[in-house]
Amino acid sequence: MAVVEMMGVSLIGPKQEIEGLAAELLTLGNFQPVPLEYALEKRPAALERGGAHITTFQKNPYDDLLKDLLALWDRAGERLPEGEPFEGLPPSLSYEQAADQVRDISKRLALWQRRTDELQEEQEKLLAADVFLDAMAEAGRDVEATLKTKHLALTFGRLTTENARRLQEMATVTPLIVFPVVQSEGHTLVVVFCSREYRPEADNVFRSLFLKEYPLSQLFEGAGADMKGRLKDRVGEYDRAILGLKAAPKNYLGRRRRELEELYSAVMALQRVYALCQRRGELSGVVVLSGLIPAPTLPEVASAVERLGANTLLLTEKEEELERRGRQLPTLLKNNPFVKTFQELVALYSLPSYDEADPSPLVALSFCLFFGFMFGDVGHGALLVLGAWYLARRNVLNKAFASIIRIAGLSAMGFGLLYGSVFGSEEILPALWTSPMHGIPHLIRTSLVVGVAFLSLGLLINILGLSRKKRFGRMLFDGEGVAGLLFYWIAVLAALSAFSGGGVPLAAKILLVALFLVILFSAPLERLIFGPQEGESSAVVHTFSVFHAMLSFLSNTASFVRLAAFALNHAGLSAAVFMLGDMVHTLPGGVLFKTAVLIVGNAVIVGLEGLIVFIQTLRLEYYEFFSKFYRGGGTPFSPITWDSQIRE
Amino acid sequence: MSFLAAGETAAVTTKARIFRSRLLGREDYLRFLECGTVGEIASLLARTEGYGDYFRDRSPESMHRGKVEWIITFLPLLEALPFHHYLRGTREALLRFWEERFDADMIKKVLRIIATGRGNRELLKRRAEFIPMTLVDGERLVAAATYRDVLAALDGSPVRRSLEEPLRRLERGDGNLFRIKIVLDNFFFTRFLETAARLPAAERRGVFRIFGTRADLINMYWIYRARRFFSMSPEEAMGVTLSVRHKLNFETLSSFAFAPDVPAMIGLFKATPYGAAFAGLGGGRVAVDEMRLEHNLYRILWRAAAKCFATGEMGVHMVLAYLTLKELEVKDLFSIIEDVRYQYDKGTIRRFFINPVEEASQETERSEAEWLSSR
Repeated sequence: MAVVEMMGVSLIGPKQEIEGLAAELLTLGNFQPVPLEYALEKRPAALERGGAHITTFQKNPYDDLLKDLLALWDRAGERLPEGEPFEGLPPSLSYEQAADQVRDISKRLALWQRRTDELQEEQEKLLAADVFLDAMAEAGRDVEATLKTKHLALTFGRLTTENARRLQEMATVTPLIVFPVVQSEGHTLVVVFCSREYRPEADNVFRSLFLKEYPLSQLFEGAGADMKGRLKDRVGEYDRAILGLKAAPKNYLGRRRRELEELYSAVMALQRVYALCQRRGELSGVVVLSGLIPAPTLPEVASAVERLGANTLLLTEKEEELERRGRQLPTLLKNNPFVKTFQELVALYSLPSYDEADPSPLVALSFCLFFGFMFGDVGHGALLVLGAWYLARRNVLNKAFASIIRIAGLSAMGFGLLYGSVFGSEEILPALWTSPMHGIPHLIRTSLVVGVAFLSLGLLINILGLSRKKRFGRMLFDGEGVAGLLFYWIAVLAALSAFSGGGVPLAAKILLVALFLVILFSAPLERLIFGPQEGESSAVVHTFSVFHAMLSFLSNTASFVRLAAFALNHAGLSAAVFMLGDMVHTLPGGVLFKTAVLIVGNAVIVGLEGLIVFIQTLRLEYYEFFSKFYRGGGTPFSPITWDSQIRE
Repeated sequence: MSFLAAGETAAVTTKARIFRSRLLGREDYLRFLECGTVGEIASLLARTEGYGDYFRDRSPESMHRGKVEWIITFLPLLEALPFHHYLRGTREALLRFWEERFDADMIKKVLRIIATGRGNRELLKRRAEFIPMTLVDGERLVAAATYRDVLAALDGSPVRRSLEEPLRRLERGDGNLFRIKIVLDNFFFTRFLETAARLPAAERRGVFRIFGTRADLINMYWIYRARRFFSMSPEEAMGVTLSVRHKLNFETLSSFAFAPDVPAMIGLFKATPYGAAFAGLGGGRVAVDEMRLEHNLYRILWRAAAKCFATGEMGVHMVLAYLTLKELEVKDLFSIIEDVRYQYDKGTIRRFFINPVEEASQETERSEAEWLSSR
């Protein structure tokens, strides 16, 4: 119903013109690029013969540039420039120029990082030495005397806590003495003693456990008496230097903000342009850019080509030609805002395939009808509307889902007026139609009529779809075709007649048997009249599916009784809340208890029952209704636009 | 066990058993041996239940060896993914840690490319896009040009702490990739078995039966190699072992490492529960020893995993047992592909399958020598 017609377009022209056109297509937001082979393959055109000479591309060269450039803002701890990237014609910045500038920035960032790492490494040594001094002081040992022992080799270093444990284990089978000094953030500082003769072997152990040794003698040599004070001063110096280096990207960005933001905007724009041109083909400077567009937007594309591509050729290909070449086209739905809300529900099941009718308008109407029928209450409906509005405002619910709940709430309010129900009370408003508590037979009859109507509608849509696909055999003889529909209607009339005491007329019986046989032998009949068809199932599968289809007429129709059942359930639950409220009313502080019961009870009804009715509505849509005609399996139309994924 | 946990374990055990029934049988192995080209192997795989879905619609008959190997390498990982829907908490974490071994492999591959300048980065990129990595930032890892870049890709990852110093040493030219492999294995086993220790008793036993055994075998194997081939000192040999142990404790491993010579060490190995793997070792040619030992160790692992299915227990260890069997089956497939590639003697190669489809009868030195001479 509202699947937009698609068409293929190919732009063939000089690189510069194509880049301009790509920018325009990004603004139009109606172009889904396709690989070159999509446009050329199986085409009896001259292009196919030249196809072998065309260079194709897979990578967007600006992806890496943009990523490297974004690192500057990231390291500066700043947000990316606000506003849209460059729109319109792409900036006159060649890839080489952009790459040079970005490379220069990357080099600076790498240099600052390397220097920071080096300083941090040095600082880490000093901090470790400080810890060592504390440990020596605690043990009452003189530092220089300990370091200068004649027979003992001392090693001070850091390793992961896991490896420190292993080192301690190793100490049980080797002549090593291990003292863990301090443990933090998964690392342990250790002092290890061994004899000077064993030192080379100990080094092997240290290497295998990745012990990072801090050479203390170098650090303390000539430090004099106030070792700790000197260490503190040096740590402070390193701190300042590291802070300066960390601020360098921010300062650099601050000094050259305008220039860098322009570069960012240009690279960003070109990245988008080449996201669109990524799978282009090139032949001696001539670029071939192929894609799919919604057919109604062709004039806009043609006008853009006229304005911006004096030397560019626009080739178009209609949907039939693309489909003939075996291309599956993507689906773009176009509906009014009310129906558009319900597209989400259809997509939740599956997007319609390109050659299928969009069931969204029917879903919009039926969803309101089913939900309102089962949850008809002015008060509860209003709570749903308010709740959905509030939750959407707090970003708890997404916009589309909140809209669906709001519409469902409005529908519940409408049916509440028909039932005369406000927060479960049927005393306040007069019922415009019937009350669930008092009109049960009426509701059941109506729900069955709704069921028969919807199933018939589903079958009719299926018949139309089959006719459009020129599957006349299936359309006429299938269980979900004309024969099935007639069978269903006659069965419904026969059931009506039987329940009203008139018995089933003989003509109806004969017709039912005849139609059943037609459906059972639909495959051979179709083959006989219309010749062999695609996708025929085996006889066994077909027989089972016929029985399944016949039985599902009964089960699907009976399933609609839930409309009445949940309407009654809603009234019953509301009555139970009122009864509970009345029971606690007689207790001391009864007014408070009653108020609490009424508030909690109604909240449960709106939350829990609302959810159950929502699920039941979906079930009626997806299982009973969709199963008659809808297949789905479509892929969404995904045009490339200026909205950058990286920024998102 | 809570009601929900019972549901979890029942669901995954059922699924694991179904998956296990799709593993290749004796007849399949024999059919594979009849294949003359990689295309034939791929076509045969396309017709099996366990591999068909991954090979159909890809023209298996004209598939290149690299493509076939690429698919089967990641197949155990792909098969692990559906189990996540059923698992929560520790069990789910355990499965995720198991999968992260594949991420660790990616780290090794990238480091190898940086170290040697050889390797297919594009293939790694495809892998990273195909199945997102959880242990490391896949995109940054694959793009890493230096060891420092690899370290940056590990930011926020629990493995960073373990790799920080080894990578810095590599950058300074001090160290080698073998050490990195040890660190990664250590990281995996420690985290994996520490998590497994939180499972209920039966599942914990099951996990340790497979992965504890695996850790023991790795420890023995590395001590053996360190002493026999790399002439490492006992201390160094102990340094390359994992910090997790199952049946072989630190003292036992130390006794191996500090054994006076290699024959004495092999003698000690033979006295352990895994002694059968080392039977006949040390006397023949080194290459024969290596191949036989590797095969025997994998065979022990295969039996440990297969044994889980004989217990009738339920739990996440059944999933891990299945995945282990699948991984070993993939190793057998690699042997079959190698066999086709290098035209090995089929009669001998069938005795070296990990899956004991055909129990080796009398492995004569002659037949092994023939096989080796044809390599």
